[in-house]
Amino acid sequence: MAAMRTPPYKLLATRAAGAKLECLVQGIHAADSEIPGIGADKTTVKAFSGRWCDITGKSAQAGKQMRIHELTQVNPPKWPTGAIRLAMAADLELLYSWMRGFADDTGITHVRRPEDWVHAAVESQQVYLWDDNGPVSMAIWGHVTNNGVSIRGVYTPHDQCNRGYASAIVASVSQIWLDRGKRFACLFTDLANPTSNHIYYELGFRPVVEVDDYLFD
Amino acid sequence: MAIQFVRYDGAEDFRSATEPFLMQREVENCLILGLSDTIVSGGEVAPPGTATPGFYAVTDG
Repeated sequence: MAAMRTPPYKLLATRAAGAKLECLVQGIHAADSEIPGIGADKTTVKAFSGRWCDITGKSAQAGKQMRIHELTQVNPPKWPTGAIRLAMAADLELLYSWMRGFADDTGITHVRRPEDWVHAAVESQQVYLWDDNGPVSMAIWGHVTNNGVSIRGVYTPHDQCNRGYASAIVASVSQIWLDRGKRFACLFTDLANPTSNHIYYELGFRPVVEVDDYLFD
Repeated sequence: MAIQFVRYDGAEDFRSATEPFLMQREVENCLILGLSDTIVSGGEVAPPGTATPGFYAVTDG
């Protein structure tokens, strides 16, 4: 099994159980005892957290409960008016605001300030907007693996919701990467948001695994 | 075969050692694959001035 951590964020781990999980717990305790939490599949997270609290005397608090979805073929949505376009430097102030809105909506606040990274994402053509007489929704492609790409930062301002913009931009970004030869697009959703889970299912995303965060006090 | 905890010196060593394993569940491990690849490529994944990333595995020895 494998694990990594980019401070100040939590430890990320692959599936582990039994002796390997115990070995991981002991090894991490020796190497990086100040981890603020762990993210992994539901079973691994729960087992790691239990043993971590046994050893350190800390307590664990359940954080986000997420699900990873995979799409290999886009089910075209009902297309709204407007079209997809790449974000530009002129969009940066809006994107900073939208990333703060995204953080507020998702409760994912332990991330880098948008001012520290969004400009680079725009320069590398990772940020797409749905534009309908102005930007109305965004999606960012993030990590690219051998066969796939992850999509993140899907955000539509509240006053533009329920018009199909998010479906359109996620479908479009997914198709762009399938056309580039990737086999899949994937994304994370919050299990507490049934609306987004339903929207992505309609587009062709299928659940792969549930992943949880546990934070240590 | 005794299992052992391994701490890698950097992202490149980590990727070389663990990529075949990670790729067995590519979607599930997309965050680790992507983050480590970004670091290998010289990209930033954490605020400036933070501690060096840690890369680990438990192997069969």
